[in-house]
Amino acid sequence: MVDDSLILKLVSQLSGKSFDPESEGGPFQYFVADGLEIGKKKYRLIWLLEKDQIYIGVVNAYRRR
Amino acid sequence: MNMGFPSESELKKIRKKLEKAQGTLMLSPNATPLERFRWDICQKFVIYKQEHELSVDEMAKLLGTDKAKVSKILRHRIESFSTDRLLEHLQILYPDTKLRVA
Repeated sequence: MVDDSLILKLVSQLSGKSFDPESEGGPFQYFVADGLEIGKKKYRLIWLLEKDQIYIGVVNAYRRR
Repeated sequence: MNMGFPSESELKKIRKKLEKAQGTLMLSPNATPLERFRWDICQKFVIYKQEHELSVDEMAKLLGTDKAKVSKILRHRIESFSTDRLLEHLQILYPDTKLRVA
């Protein structure tokens, strides 16, 4: 089940890595990471960053089948 | 902090749009040293693009290749790239690149 705890584990896997945005709109950049693994299951995470703000906005997270 | 998070309708649109996006392929926890090395090379391309504020088109011109190939590298979808080719491109961006066996 994709709950907050799992999402936090997915987001933590982004640490120390760089990503190219898939899309941009206004002050937002949108990113997609595919194939994140937790417990042999793969997930897809979509998040945003807002210009001049320090937070990660999780847009979607789901298991890949 | 003044977060201006997108509206729910904007998020709905972006979710639909990004469903089809390839996205960056993450490194498996079981990656071999070579796979890790190749993934790290791709990271260098992403960092270069960000630091120099380049578009994919501009990077393609700089590397003497096409936009589609650059896009694949930036997304770490490099099955069809030899390590040699990746390193050739990397040396265009970072001429002082050195390889070392640890």
